[in-house]
Amino acid sequence: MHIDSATLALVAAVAFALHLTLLWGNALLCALLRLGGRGRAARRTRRALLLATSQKTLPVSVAVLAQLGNSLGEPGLVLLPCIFFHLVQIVFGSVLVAAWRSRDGV
Amino acid sequence: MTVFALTGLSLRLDDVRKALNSKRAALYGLLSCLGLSALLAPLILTDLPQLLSQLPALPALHDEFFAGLALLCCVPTTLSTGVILARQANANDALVLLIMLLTNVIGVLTLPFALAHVFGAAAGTALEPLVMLEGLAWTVLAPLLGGVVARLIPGVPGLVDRLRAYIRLLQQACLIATPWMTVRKARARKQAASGLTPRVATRRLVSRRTSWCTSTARRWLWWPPSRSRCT
Repeated sequence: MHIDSATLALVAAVAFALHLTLLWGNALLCALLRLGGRGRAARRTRRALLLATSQKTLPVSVAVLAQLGNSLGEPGLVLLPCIFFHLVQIVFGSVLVAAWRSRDGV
Repeated sequence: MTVFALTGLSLRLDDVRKALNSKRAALYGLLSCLGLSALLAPLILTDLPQLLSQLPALPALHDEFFAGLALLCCVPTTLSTGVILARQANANDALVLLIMLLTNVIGVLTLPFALAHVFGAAAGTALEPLVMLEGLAWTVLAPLLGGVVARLIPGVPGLVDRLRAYIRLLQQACLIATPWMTVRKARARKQAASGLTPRVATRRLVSRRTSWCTSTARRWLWWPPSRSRCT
């Protein structure tokens, strides 16, 4: 089964959009629920929550796919967005952390 | 299994205890990872394909891609990346560690039922939650808890702290290898189904290489013409 570069780019874009949705949604909920307190004191807790709730594990995804076999379709194709998401969360997470550090003046 | 065992081995429970002051935040993290993000899974399986098909000039995606994204919405949070990034960002890394531990332990118990509900309702696929639960308990939970218990043996925490850099490298190497192993197994299953066993594939490869070498030698060296041409 041949997957062209346009399809791969679209899968990567959708994985990135999912990561942004998780980040944005959790940021909104953390602010509404005032988790961690108020003001700058809440910053450490909210940053931790954003990082923990917007990222997903790849090994558990692979373990689940190993259990499911072909139930969801071709396992290699099912795994592809998981791999892209993992790469996106590492790269965008690093960019986000760099932005936070520059805001903190570190 | 190696990744989970190494994660359990390098887990410092003292760091996790520091996060117990932030119970409300930890509870939110648990509910968000396993509950709220799982609510996106049915939308990804049903609404997202329709939305993408309406956008012009976009290639059609296989159903498996949407299944992979829906699976991602249901799984727990990352094992090590979140903690590393939290330390870099001067965030509460103990909280990230606690959420990681809670979601991966509790997630193993809830994930099979969540997946059976999501994929059963949306895609009409019949999944057996109890079989999946048993498999995940052996693959994920047992190595993770085994690593945590191994840290209780005297001398092990000190050894793990000294070798932490190597353990992290080994974790990343296993992480890189796991998708490759999954694709390899899927390819082997496909080849077995089409009758192409490793022995047959090797024989074909050898014969193709031999004929290529022969034809290349004929082009560069002078060889007498074949008998069929002579007669």
